[in-house]
Amino acid sequence: MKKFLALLLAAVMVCALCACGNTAATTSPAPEATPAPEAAPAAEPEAAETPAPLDYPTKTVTIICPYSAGGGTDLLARAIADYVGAKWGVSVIVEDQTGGGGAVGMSACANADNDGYTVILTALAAATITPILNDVGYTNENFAPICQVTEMVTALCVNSSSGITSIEELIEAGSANPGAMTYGTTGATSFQNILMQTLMEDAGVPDAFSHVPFDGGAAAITATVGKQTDIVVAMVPDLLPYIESGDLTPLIVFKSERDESLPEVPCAGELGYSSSTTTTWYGFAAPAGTPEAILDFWSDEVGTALADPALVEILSNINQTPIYKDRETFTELYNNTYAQNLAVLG
Amino acid sequence: MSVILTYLSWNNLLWNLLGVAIGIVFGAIPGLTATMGVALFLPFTFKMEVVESFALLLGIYCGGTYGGSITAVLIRTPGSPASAATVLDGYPMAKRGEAGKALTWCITASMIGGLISCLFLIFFSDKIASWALSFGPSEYFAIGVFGLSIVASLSGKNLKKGILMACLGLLVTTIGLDPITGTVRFTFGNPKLSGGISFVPVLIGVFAISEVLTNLEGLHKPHAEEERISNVSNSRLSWAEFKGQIVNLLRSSLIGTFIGIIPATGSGIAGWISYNTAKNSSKDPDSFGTGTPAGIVASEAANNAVTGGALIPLLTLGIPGDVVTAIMLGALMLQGLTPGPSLFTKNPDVIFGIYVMLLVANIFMYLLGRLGVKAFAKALEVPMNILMSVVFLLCMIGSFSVANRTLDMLFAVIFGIIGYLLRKLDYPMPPLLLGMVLGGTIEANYRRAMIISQGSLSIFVTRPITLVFLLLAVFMCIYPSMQKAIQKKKAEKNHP
Repeated sequence: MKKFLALLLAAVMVCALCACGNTAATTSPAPEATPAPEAAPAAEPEAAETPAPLDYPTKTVTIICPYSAGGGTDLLARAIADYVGAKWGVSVIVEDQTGGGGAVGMSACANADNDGYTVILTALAAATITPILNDVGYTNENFAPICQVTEMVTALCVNSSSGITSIEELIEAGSANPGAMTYGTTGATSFQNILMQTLMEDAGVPDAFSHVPFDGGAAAITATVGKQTDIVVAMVPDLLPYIESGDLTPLIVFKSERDESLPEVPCAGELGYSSSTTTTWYGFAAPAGTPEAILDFWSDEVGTALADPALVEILSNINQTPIYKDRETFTELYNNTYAQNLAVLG
Repeated sequence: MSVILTYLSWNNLLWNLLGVAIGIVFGAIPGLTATMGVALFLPFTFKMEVVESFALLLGIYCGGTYGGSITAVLIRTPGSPASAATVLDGYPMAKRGEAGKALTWCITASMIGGLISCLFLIFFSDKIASWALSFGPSEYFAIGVFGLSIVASLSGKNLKKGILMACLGLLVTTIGLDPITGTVRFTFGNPKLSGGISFVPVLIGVFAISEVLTNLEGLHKPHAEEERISNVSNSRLSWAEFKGQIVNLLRSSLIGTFIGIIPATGSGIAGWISYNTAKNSSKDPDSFGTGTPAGIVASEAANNAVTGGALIPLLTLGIPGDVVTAIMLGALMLQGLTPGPSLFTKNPDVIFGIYVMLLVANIFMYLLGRLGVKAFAKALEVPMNILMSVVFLLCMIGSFSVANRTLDMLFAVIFGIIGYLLRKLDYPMPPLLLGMVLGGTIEANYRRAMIISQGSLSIFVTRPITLVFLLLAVFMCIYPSMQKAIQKKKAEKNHP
């Protein structure tokens, strides 16, 4: 009896959800969305009104993380997986499929069943840079974006002993001897490199600095702290400890307005580098063709989770602030970033 | 003293013990490594106290670094890359019927290595931290080349075959994403190869699976079992035996600690460098590879000494010394702490807690390891056909769990067959592994150095640390032939 009641409740809830998600499952070609047999009788009365009630999730859900275990994206994925798993009463597991600048995880997700039981927590670089630089078997068309989870601001720093205190001075120093000064980024396919390239082009000195790609943010920062490279372009949370200790001096934040964690530092918007203001986004995506109802369900659930102070606290400890964007906004952002990067790199 | 006692709460000790036990299991199973254990248990620490969470993670780290030696000794399969060099002498010793003793050497050397590095961490971390910052791309390149030069003495009798194998290893590392341009190369258009070929499946293939295949040959022979008599009763070390290894223990622990301090290196390479140093400074270098305790001690003391070393730059500078400490950086941040100079002034209690837990972890590791020797060696009494099936199963699980890809299982099998055939033809495997461990470091850092120097090779001679390591590499290459020449001369003098 209890089971029946639970199923009934679930069915009602799902119907309510479908109603909110307006288009719902009716428009999607989703044979996978058919409810499990034992749920069918329970859902019957409602089923007459709503054609495909969402019976999801009923089994283990996999979140692919395209970056290595213990890193920021992985921690984010695990925190969210813990949260929604407990709420849904199914196991939600994080599977790290690392390598190839995120290509390994992304192509695994693109090729997974689009039944909603495999999603990926991806980031700007894996989603919109790696597939442009390479033929890795996927583009933006292979994915159905779900929602943005957070975004990160990039900043440019120099070693404090360099004596350089503004971006103008840096550009002057760089153009005096083009190519001699170096900037380190988190990797060959990093968005930080694109930001820097655009900045140099807008400043009229496209070859002022040479790019040294490192293996992750920590290595790039260490190299500038140790004076191996002159400049480091990395995520603000990673840079903060070194800015606070006085080892690094921030010169510019790649954002249209000033960042609250570095209020003293000028932003790209005010300095006239308006094309270098994109932040690095992190968000969920599913294989293309995943039922719309499930995408909406995910988007709503993640939105609710990210509004919960308990989860916000866990995330703030890993220096991440949830900046949620729903499915519609994120889909647009995803495809726009792809188009922009295609124009710069392609 | 009373400060220390406050950290020895039941909770901390239990988490620590649990961590060590988990670590040993993760380390011992081929393919599961300390790194994976720490990553997997990290989410469990979300809601723990800082010192509790580090009790658990440091336990896994130490236990996992040691655990790999158990299978290295017993079934010629390093449970993790850290113990790859332990196979060279551990397995021959076990085969000789001294499995118990070999295991005791492993755990003893591991504990001493761990403790020495921990003392370094406690007393000298502030003094050596800044040293880690002086390592740039050219230094990493030089260390890589130095590491590769070990091939000269690891190749056994046939240097040409050794160099060939090292080249094969280097070649494998070029598959995947180009570290500088970010383009995918040598993948034959297969996106699954864009992540390259991981090290662990290859390690499992050439050691474990090729061993399974070799043992398959012997299964039909009537007396195959008798060759593997385990002698566990005699697992104690005499003082005289121990005394003979003290210099080796200290030297290997120091090598391990220093390699741990250098960011982006780790226990995998520490074992090899230390093994090679022990061999070159031994009076009897020919005994290496035949089952000498000195070889086991060198590899195991060094790989466990990496633990304390790698924590030095993590705690003092916020720079992880290896992959495991990179995950621990995340763990610290999860607790709302920022590693780096401010950690010592703001949260000295956390630092002390970590020190104490690392010391205790090494002691727990020793106790569990000593208790386990008999149980571990029992594995040898399992009939060969069952043991090998189990090993093969574990190999598949281990290969898969590296990146959750079935493709890696295929790689393990392919490299198993390659390894089996090459072993028949007397090709040495260690150079292949060295090539794979170092290939990425050497290539990426050479190219980074070239960007920084604007294409001038002078960067490799004008920077002192770089120059020293490169000269050491040259020395390593000519040392074996020099040794022979000196011996020849001596022999001529004695018998004119």
